[in-house]
Amino acid sequence: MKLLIAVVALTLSACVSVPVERKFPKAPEELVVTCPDLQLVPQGTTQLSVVLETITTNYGQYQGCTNKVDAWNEWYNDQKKIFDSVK
Amino acid sequence: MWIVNFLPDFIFHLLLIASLIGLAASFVLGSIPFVSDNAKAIQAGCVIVLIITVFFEGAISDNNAWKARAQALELRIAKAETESAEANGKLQQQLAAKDKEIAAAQAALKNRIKEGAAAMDAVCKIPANVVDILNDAAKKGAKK
Repeated sequence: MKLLIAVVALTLSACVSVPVERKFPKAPEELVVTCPDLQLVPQGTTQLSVVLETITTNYGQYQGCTNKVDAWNEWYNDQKKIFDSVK
Repeated sequence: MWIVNFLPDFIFHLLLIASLIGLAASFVLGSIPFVSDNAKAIQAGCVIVLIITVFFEGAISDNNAWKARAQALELRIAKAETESAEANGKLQQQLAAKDKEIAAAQAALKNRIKEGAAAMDAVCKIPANVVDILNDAAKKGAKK
């Protein structure tokens, strides 16, 4: 019994907690925003200029969202590279 | 190892030295009455203490090696966090520049539309179903 207690005490003496902690990298706030809905052409419009303006605005929104997706890809690749460099 | 962190290292060093001295004394100092009478007990005690302290000396050495590795890892993590923040800053700048570019292009295009609005509206009237088709296209798959 005494031997068992001694063995258990010696075994437990080897317990150790992991001292190093890694934090998940934070993404830029600009990226953590949903893309806006596409604009609709006002009902009853017969003017080409109004339709054209709406379409142009929607193209601009699409380009903004494309930039965000590209930025997310770049962010992921950069952060993965940095994460993998720590071993 | 909590026991190694709990007790200072010098206690194990002292116990190791004491057990070695005690073991040597039990063999060498046979002329001293107390030592000669209790030689076997002193030797047994010293051997037990020696075994335990050798184990803990190894544990201390191992613990120090792990501490050094943890410190090195912490340094690398701190460096990686700095690099990560720098990469984010660079990305934010790029994104802001592109957004500015889009906003400028949009403003220029809308100016052109305004300038040509009268002419294009005079030659083309949009049927109602065109607006419906465009709006349906914008709505399909849109967030709910």
